[in-house]
Amino acid sequence: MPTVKVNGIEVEVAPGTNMIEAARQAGVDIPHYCYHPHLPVAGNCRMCLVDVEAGGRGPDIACNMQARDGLAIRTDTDNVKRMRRSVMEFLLVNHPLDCPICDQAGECRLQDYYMEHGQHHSRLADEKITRTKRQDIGDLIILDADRCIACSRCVRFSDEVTKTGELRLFNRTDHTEIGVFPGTRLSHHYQGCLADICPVGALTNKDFRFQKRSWYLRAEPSVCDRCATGCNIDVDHDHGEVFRYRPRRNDAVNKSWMCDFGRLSYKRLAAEDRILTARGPEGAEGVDAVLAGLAAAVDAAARDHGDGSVGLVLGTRATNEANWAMLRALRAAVPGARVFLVEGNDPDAFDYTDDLLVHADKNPNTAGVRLIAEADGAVGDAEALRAALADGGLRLLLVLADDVLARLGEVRRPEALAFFGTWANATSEAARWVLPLAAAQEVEGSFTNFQGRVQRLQPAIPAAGDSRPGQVLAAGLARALGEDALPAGAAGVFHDLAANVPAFFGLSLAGLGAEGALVHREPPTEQVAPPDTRPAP
Amino acid sequence: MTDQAHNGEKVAWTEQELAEIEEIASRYPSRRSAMLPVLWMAQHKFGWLSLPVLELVAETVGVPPSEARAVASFYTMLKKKPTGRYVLQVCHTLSCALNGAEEIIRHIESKYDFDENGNTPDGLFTLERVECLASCGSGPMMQVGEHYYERLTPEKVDEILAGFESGEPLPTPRPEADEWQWNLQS
Ligand code: SF4
Ligand code: SF4
Ligand code: FES
Ligand code: FES
Repeated sequence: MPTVKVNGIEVEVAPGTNMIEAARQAGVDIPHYCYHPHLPVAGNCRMCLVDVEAGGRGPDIACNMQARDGLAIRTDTDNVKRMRRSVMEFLLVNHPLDCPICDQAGECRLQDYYMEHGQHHSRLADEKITRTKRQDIGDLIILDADRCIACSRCVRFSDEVTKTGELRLFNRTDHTEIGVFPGTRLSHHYQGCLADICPVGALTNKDFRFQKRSWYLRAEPSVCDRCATGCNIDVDHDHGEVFRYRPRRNDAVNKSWMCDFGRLSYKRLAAEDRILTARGPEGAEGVDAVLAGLAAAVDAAARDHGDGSVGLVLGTRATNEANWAMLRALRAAVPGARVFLVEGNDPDAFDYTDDLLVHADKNPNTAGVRLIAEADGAVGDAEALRAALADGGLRLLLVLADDVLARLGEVRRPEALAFFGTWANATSEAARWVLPLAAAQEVEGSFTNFQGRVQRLQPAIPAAGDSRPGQVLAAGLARALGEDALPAGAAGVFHDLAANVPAFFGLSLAGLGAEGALVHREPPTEQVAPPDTRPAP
Repeated sequence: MTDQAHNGEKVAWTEQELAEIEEIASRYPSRRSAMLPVLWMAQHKFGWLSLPVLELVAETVGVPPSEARAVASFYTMLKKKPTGRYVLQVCHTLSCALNGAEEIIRHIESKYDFDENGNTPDGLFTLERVECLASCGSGPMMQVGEHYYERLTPEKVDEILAGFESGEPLPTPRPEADEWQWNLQS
C-alpha cells in the first residue's frame, strides 16, 4: 500500500487511489469539478491543480495522479491559490451569474469555490458568449447551457453508466456548448443523476426545480423501497415534508446512483392513498382498539375452529423486523397458525427493469422474508395459500404489507381479512381490519436486498398519521393476545431474529453500518423475475 | 431521430460506398475511429452535413448521433450549413490583410446579395473569411475548391467570378460539386 504525503500529512492508501481521494483521507479537501469517484477521469477542469513536492513534477492535476510511494503534494502554497483563482476566473468568463434564479444555488460548486478561491472582479471587456437557456431535454431534466462549465461529467455518465450517449459537448473552445442531438431527448431512467452530478446549475431536476431552496433542507439517510436493489438514499426534508430523494453513496449497492422511479417515489409518502388511520368493522378507530378487536377475532377463530383456521402472510414490502415480530406474535399466541409467503409484484409497482440497478423484483425485502420463512420451516407458498383458502379451512387471514389478493388473482376469499399496510389496495379494501403501517423512510429497522445485504433503516421523518412501524403494531397485537414477553423495539426484534435465523447469526442492527452487511450465505447471483401479477394494461 | 430529409431527400449510402467505409473501418482497431474519414466522405457526397447526414454517419460508424455532431462541430472544414457551388475562402490574416484583403472582401460583397450564412440566393457562391492559408508571399489570396488564386485585385476577382458565373468548371476537379443538388431551402 503506497504511502503519500499531503501538506506534510502522511497517509497510507489503497493501490490505485488518486490524490484527490488520498487527500480526503488526510483530511484535505481538493476542489474539483470534473472528477467523480464513479466516472472515468477526464482531467479537463484543472481545478484540482496541486504542487508536487516530491516524487514527480508539478504543478499537476490531483485527479489523474495515482498514489505511489514517495509522492508528496501541497495544496496550501501561494502558487496553488493563484492557480485556483485563475481557473475560477476562466470558468466564470462567460458565466451568466444568474444565481438568484438558479436552482443550484446553495449546492453549487461554482459558488462554493468562488467564495473560497475566486473572489476576483471581472476583467472581461468583451461581450459574454451566450448559450441556449432552458432546454427541455428529458422527462426530468432542464438544461441551461449558459451555466455549463464543460466538465463533461454528464457526457461520461451517459456514455459509461447508462450507455445511451445522448449528451455531448459541441463546438470548440469558448463556444463549446453542452447539448443533445437536435430533435432528440434523454432516453434513460437515471436522469435525476445528471442533476446530481452536474456541479453547477446547467442540469437541474424538473421535479425539484423551484420547489425549495436547498439550504432549508435537512438530509437524513435511508433506503429506497421500490425494488429489491435497495439503493441508499438521502431523504431531503423540511420539518418532515419531503422534497426529494437523492442517492447516498454505497459502492457495494448503488454507487452514487438511483433510478428515477425510486427518486420520485418520495411523493408516495404523502400520497392520497396512504393508510393513515386504523379501521375496524365499525369504521375508523384507534390503533389499539382495532388491534384489540382483531386479537379477539384471532382468539375466537383459534378456539372455535382450531389454530389452523388462522393464517399470516409475510410481507416482502415490510422490514425484517415487521415480519419477524408478526411471525413471533402469532406463533406465540396461536402456535398452529398457518404462515405463507406470496412472492410477486403488486399492481402499484413500476413496469421497468434493467441490468444497471432496477431489479425485476419490486419489493425491498423478498430476500429477507425468504430467509425468515426458511428458518421457520413451515411457511407455505402462493399455491399452499390458494389451497388453504379454497377448502375454507383458513378463516382469518392477517396480511402484512403486500397486496396479496392482487398477487393471488382469482381466489376464494377468507371469511375475514386483516391488512397491515402503508397504501390502500385490493387487499386493504377487502379487509375487515386495516392497520396503518409506517413507510420505510419513517421507521427503525432493516431490509435485506437481492444481494443478501441487510441495510439499516432509521426514521428520516416522523411516521405519517397514526401509522406505526410493523414491530410496534406486532407488539400491540401480541399484548392484545396476552403475550407480553416478546421483544419490543427494532433493535430487540433484530437481536431475536439474529439469534433464530441462521443467515442473520452474529448481526446486529447497530452493527450494520453505512454499507450494510451480507447475510451468511451465497446470495442469489441471478435476477429471478417474480411472477407478474399486474393486471393487463 | 430527426425526420427531416437532407435537401428534401432521404440519405443513404450506395453499396459501393458502404464497401469503401468497411475498408476504412478495417484500418482502425475501433470502428468509431472511422468517424472523420466517413464524415469527409459524407460531405463530398451530400455537400454539407445536415442533421440527417450526421445521423447516417453515426449509424454507419456505430456511435450515438450526438457524437457525429460533436466531431463535426469541432472542425471548421466540415460544413454544418449548406454552401454554394463555389466556396470563396478569402484569407484575412496579416500578410493578406496588409496587402488589401479587406478591399477584396468588400468588393466581392458588393457584387452579390449574400445572406447571413454567406450564400448567394442562386446557390452559386459562398463567401468565407479564413485564416492564413500559407500563401502569405502572394497575398491577397483566396482558395476556391482546392485551387489558390493569388495576388488578387478587384479586376482579377471580377474575371475569376465571371468565369464561374458562366459555368466554368473548377480548375481543380471536384466531381461532387457537379453532382449534388442545389437546394438551399432546407
Ligand atoms: S452540463 Fe453540468 S455536468 Fe454537463 S458538462 Fe456542463 S457542467 Fe458538466
Ligand atoms: S433501482 Fe430500485 S432501489 Fe434503486 S432507486 Fe430504483 S427503485 Fe429504488
Ligand atoms: S478534477 Fe482534476 S482536472 Fe478536473
Ligand atoms: S496571411 Fe494570407 S495566406 Fe498567409
